[in-house]
Amino acid sequence: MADTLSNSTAVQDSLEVAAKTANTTLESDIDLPVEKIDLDISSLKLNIRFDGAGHKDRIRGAANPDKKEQSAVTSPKAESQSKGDVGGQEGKKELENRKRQFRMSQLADRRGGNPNMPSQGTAAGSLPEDLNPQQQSGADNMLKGIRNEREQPGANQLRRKLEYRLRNRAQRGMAGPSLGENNSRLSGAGNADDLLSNLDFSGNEDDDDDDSQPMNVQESQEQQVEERLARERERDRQNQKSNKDKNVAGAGGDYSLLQRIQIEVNTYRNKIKKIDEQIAGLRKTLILLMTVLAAVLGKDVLDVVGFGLWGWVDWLFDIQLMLAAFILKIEQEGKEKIEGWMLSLVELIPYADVLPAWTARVLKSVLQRNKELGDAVDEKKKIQKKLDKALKFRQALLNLPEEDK
Amino acid sequence: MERPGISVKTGSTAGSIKIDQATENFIGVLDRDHTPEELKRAFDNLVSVMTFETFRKIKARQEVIQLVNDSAEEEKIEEEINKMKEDLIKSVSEIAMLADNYQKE
Repeated sequence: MADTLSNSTAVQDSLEVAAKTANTTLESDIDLPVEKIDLDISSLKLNIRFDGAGHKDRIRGAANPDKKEQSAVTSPKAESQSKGDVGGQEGKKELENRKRQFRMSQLADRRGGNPNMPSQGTAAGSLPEDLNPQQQSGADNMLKGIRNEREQPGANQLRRKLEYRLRNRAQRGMAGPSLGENNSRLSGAGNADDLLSNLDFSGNEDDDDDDSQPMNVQESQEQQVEERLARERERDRQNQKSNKDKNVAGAGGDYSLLQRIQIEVNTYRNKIKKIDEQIAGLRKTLILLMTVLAAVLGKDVLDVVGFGLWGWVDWLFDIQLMLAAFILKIEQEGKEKIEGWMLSLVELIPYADVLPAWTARVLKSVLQRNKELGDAVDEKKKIQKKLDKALKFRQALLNLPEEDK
Repeated sequence: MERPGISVKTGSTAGSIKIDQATENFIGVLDRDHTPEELKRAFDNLVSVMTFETFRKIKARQEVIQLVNDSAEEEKIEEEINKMKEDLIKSVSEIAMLADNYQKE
């Protein structure tokens, strides 16, 4: 595989082994679609935004191997193509040759056509153009592209961490001899400085000469990391102790907490569902009751106006209204029912039927339902708040690093 | 409820410490003169730690899915899981490319 990591087979193999190990450790059966890796690499190249125009071409070339030259970063399509044409060692050699050829042609483009000519304006021993901070190319562009990407949760944080570490390492390399002396791939004395400016997040390219400040920053960062690790170890010990106390081992405690929250979420959802149904029922009943109220109001007005004249016809209305009250279940509880029917019976008493008994009965029921509706809406709001809290907590538990749970 | 296989050391704070160590180790190998095998080993280690962390989170979500009674939410969590998987693959690919680019420069 030579020392190329960004070839789909290598990444695929690493991920497959890692997935198997993780599944064994976690006793899980999570499927990782590593076969999609070709697509991901190609889409990745297209997703990254590059500042330099030259690199856009390079990336376009990588995404479409038929166009122009071969990419600096091997395109999976091209890779599989080359694998199909020539097998084993020959394929790899050809791939390497193509890469070299492409890099040479790139350099030639930049230097005006001749790949063997040194670049104009570049002093001997200085960094190649890709690492020059003014050109904003090479690894810097890739890092910038990654930085410009939309924030993504999960593993992207790890990638950003690596990016940050690379920058820090470049800073350290500036002070220590390791980077400049040992790495023969990076030529010249000011490598670490240039790397720092290339990989710098702040985008400030003028502070290359300031040696003392990065040293202080580095020391404080190291100190912070050490302090953080010490804090984490301490917390780990405390967690271990508390877990023993609770007779909950390891991450099991966290999972059971998640499950408990989920059960709570389910309970709240069920309650809200029931309340919604109740509210819908109450609204329908209220509409019917309002109609009935209009009818009984008219009837009672007639009772008062036509006193004694239509007493026997009134009874016909009363019977119909009683049937309606029975079907509509105007009263729900036993006491209410008794009161309601008592009021209706008043209508049967001669000379007492002028009293607006029906209006009183229905109006009382309307007010009762209205109050119930208001209570239900309030209850729903309360449960909704609790549900929102539980959902937020659950999301926080799912997303936070384990030590913060 | 005991879950064998996830000890406090591997599943808890040690998780983030391990990622730090693996990242540190990988960058260290990248910086110094190294053999392809050394680099591959460091890369595999980093991938393994990243995968473990992602799988741990996925497993937690799967346990939640089992209890969720809302199909829309179940779908949402499943989408989140798929996103995490894709994110992992993409991150690993990006790291590989980043490392290769760093080596070349």
